[in-house]
Amino acid sequence: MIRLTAREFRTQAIVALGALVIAAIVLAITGARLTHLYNTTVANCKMNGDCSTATSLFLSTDSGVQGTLDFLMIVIPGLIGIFWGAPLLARELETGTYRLAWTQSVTRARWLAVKIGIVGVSSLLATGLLSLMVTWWFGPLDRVNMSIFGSFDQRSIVPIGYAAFAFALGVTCGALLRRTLPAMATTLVGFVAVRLVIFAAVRPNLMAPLHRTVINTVIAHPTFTPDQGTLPANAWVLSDQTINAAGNVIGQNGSINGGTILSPGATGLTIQGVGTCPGIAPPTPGTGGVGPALQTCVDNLHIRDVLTYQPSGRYWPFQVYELAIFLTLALILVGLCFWWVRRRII
Amino acid sequence: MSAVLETSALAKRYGRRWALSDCTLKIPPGLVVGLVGPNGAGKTTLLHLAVGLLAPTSGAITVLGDRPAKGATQLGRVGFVAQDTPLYAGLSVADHLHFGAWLNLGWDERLAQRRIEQIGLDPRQGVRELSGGQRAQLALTLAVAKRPELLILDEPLSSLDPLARREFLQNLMESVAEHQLSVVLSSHLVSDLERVCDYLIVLVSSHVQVAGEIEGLLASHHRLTGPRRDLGTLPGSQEIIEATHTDRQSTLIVRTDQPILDPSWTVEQIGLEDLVLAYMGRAASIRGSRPAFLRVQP
Repeated sequence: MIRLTAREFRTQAIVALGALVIAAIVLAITGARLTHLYNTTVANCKMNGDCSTATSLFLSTDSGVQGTLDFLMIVIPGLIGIFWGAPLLARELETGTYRLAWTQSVTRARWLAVKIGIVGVSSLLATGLLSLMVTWWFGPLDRVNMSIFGSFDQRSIVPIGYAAFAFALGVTCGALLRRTLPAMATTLVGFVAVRLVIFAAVRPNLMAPLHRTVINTVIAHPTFTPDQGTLPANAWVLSDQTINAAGNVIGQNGSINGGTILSPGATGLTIQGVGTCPGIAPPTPGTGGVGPALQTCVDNLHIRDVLTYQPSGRYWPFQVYELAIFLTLALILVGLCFWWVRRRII
Repeated sequence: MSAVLETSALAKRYGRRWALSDCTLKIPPGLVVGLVGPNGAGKTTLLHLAVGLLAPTSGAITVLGDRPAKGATQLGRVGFVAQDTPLYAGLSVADHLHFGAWLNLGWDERLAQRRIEQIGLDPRQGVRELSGGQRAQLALTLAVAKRPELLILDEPLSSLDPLARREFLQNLMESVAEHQLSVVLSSHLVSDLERVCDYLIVLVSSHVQVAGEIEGLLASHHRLTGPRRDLGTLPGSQEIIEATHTDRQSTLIVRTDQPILDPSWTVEQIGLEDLVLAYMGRAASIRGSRPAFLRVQP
C-alpha cells in the first residue's frame, strides 16, 4: 500500500521537491547578499550618522523577491489543500476506482491511513522547509522592519498548521462531495474563511491584550499632528484611541475627530473637543519645531493615547497557539474522513 | 464447506428508495451463479453488499462464512470486477499488475504475467489505449491473480462485442476450472449467462423473484397450453408464473415439483430465457409498473 501511494504521488512529490530546490538556491544567493548588505549598511549606520536612508534603502532591497515570498507563503498552504488534498479521495470516488482499490486485500482504514499519512506528511514537510528558508531569508529585514506581527502568517511555524488544515479540509471535501472540482472550490472557500475568522476574531484574543497610556505631543507644523507616542517595539497594536483630560475618546490612531484641529492665527490654537491655547502664536512656517509656549499649553490639555496591544514577547506563544489550533482542526477533519470512509460512503 | 453467499432478509435503502429488499439466499460453493435482472433491479447493490463496498440497511449477509470486507484476509478471499471495469487512467498495464501485487498478499505474479501474455496485452501500454474487451480482461486478471475463493463480476460483458464476450467467458471458465473458483456474475441478458451458469438468481424491482440451480429450475417449470379455463381450478401445487389467454386458449407457465396429470394440458419444456422473462413480467405486473391500459380488456 505504501509503495502504491508512493507511486501515485511520485510526480507531485518530484515537482514539489524541484520547486523547493530552486527556492533554496535563489534564497541562498540573495539571502547571503542581504545579510552582507545588512552588516555593511544598517548595522553600522549609527556610526555613519544617517540611519533612515540606510534602513529605507535596505528595506527596499530585492523587493520583488520579498513580495514573491510573502505571496507564496500565503497561498502555498491553500494550493496544497486544493491540489493535493481535494483530489486524494474525490478522484477515486469520481472515476469509480475506489471499487477497485477497496476490494483488494487492504482494509479501507489502512488504505486511507497510508494515503493521508504519505501525502499529508509531505505537505507538512514541504511547507515547513519553505517556511524555514523564508524565515531565515527575511531575518535581517524583519529585524529592521520592527513589525514581526505584520508578517506573522508568513513566517516560523504557523504555515505548517495552515498546510495541515488545508490538506485535511481538501481530503474531507473530496470525501463528502465525491467530485474533484467542487471539492477544490469548497476547499478554497473554506480555507480562506477559516483563516480570516482566526486572523480577525481569534488571534487578537489568544491572550488578553495589554494597555498603555502615552502622552500625546505636538510634533509638526504647519498642521497640528498629534504623535502616537512611543510604541512598544515590535508590538502588535490592536487599537490606538486618543482621549482628552476627561477620558472621553476624541480620536483614533493619532488623529483627532472633527477634521483639522488647527485653527492658527494670531489669536491662538483651538483643538476641537479638547480646549484652546489662546493668545499663543503658532511658530513661523518653515522654522520647524513648535514653540515651547504652545507645547506647554498642549501638554496641559492632557491629550493622551491609549494603546491596546500584544507585546513582541508574545510572538512565539501566539505562533504555538495558532499552530495548535490549526493542527487540532486538521486532526478533527482527518477523524471525520476516517469515519466517513469506513462507515458512511455509499 | 459453508455457503459462498448467504443472506437473510437483506435490505439496502438509499434515502427513501429501497434498492434491495427482503433478499434471502443461500448459494452453495463451487458454482457459477448468474444474477440476472433488468437495469436498476438492484444487482449492483447486492454485489456491492457482498464485497463490502456497501453496508446493509437491515438483514444479514455472510460471504464464505464471514462478514464482507471484515479484514484484509476476508478481502483477499473475494475477487471483484466492478461494473465498467474501473482502472487507473494514468497507469499502464504493468502498473496495474504492481498495484495488484502491492495490495494483495496472495498475489500470483506468474499467473498474472501468463494471463497478460495470453490476452496479448503490452505491459507498457496505458490503460487509456485499451479496448473495452482488453479492459475487462485486465480487470479479470487483477481479480483472478489475487487467488480468491470467490469471484464476483458486475456486468462484465455489457460493454463487450460478441467476440470479446465469448473470449472473456472462455477465459473466465478456464480460470474457474483451474482454480476451483466459485463465481457470481450479473447481467441483464440471460443469453450471456445461459452457457456458463449452474445457478440463477432473478432479481427484479429490488426483490429476488426466483433462485436455484438451473437444472432444477428448468425441470420444475413448464409451459401448459390448453382450452381456456379458470385459473382457480388448478391444483395447489402449481404456482402460476405467467398466464395469457385468448378466447379459446390458455397458456400458462407454472412451477411445480409434481407431475402434471391433467390430460387437457399440452406440457412443454421451457427455455431459460422464457423462464426469466416470465418472472420479470410477473414482477412488473405485481408492482403495477406495467402501463394500466394494457390491463383493460376490450
